[in-house]
Amino acid sequence: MTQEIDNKRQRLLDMTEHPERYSEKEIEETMHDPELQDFLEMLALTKRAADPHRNDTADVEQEWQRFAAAHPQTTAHRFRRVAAAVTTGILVTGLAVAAIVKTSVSSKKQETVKTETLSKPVAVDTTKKATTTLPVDSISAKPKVYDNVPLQTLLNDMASYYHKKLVNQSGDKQNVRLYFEWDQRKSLEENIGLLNNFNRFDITVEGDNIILK
Amino acid sequence: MKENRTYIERLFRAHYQEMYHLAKCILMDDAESKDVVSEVFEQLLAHPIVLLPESETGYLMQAVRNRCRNVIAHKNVRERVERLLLNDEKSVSMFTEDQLVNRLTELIYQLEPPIRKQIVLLRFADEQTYQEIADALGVSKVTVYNHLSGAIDQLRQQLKKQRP
Repeated sequence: MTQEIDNKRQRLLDMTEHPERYSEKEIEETMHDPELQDFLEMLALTKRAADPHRNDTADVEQEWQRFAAAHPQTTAHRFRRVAAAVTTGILVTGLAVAAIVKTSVSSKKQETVKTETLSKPVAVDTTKKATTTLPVDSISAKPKVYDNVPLQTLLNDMASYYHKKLVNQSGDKQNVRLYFEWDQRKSLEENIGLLNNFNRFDITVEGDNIILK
Repeated sequence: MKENRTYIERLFRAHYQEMYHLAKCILMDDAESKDVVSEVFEQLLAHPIVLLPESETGYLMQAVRNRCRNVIAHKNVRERVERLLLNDEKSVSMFTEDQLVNRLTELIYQLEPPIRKQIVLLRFADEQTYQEIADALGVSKVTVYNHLSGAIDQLRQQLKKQRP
């Protein structure tokens, strides 16, 4: 090996440790030097062969959960199943709330204590709204389906329905598109809880505001 | 649509490990490798195609290679030389040939004189600087360079002997 090639190799090795000491042009020239190609390739291969973490494995289940959370459309079919199960539970609760409201209206007495034990204050408001705008038996109405719709659209509809104002503090997360089945008989907090399960944004209810972070 | 989601999940679970391993061999970075594999599945979600069972592996592995090369191409030259990232087809193929890399690992442990093995491992397994290696071994930095250079030549010759 000539002294010249020896010097070129030393320079290349120094570049791998201190690239900041060289101009981009110098590095490009060295990396494309025909006399260094075999050396560079074997050096890179040796780095990989010596890597103690080369055969590390990934936790596939964890990675799938992460991917699915970041891409709601991949879990829509699962989410539908979950939503269906939750809907059944809420339906029973909803009927119970409706029955109490109906009784209280007919007897013109305020059964506030009983109502509060069955649902949160916001849910009571929702139920009141339902009793004023919809017949009581419409409680079994199907959820409103948002398929590939921006989060902003869904939250604006919710804000309007629950008499809140949407405040976006998230930058462009409001443009995330998702699949969601909005059961309007559930409280705002319950629906927000389901949305937060996507793990892509943080939605909170503070006073009269729905805040997207 | 629902069928496509189920399909993606099956592909993901069946091929993730192999795809991650391939990306890591090329990029030498855990997070970037996971990003690359995710991007391949994102692409499948965005543009659903059905792969023939016999071509699934080949398609997904090539998609990982292509994305890795794209990642490397977008890095600045300083990062490329520091991490020894090469994106020509020949190098990428070599890095991902498990049998070759495993054989090279064995050869590293057979390097002579033993100081060459020490230097290779201190540099690439322990990620020590050349000065730290020189101090640890009580030699000059230039001696470290020369031994590493000699080790690389020796490894190439040994591999050449064993490969047709």
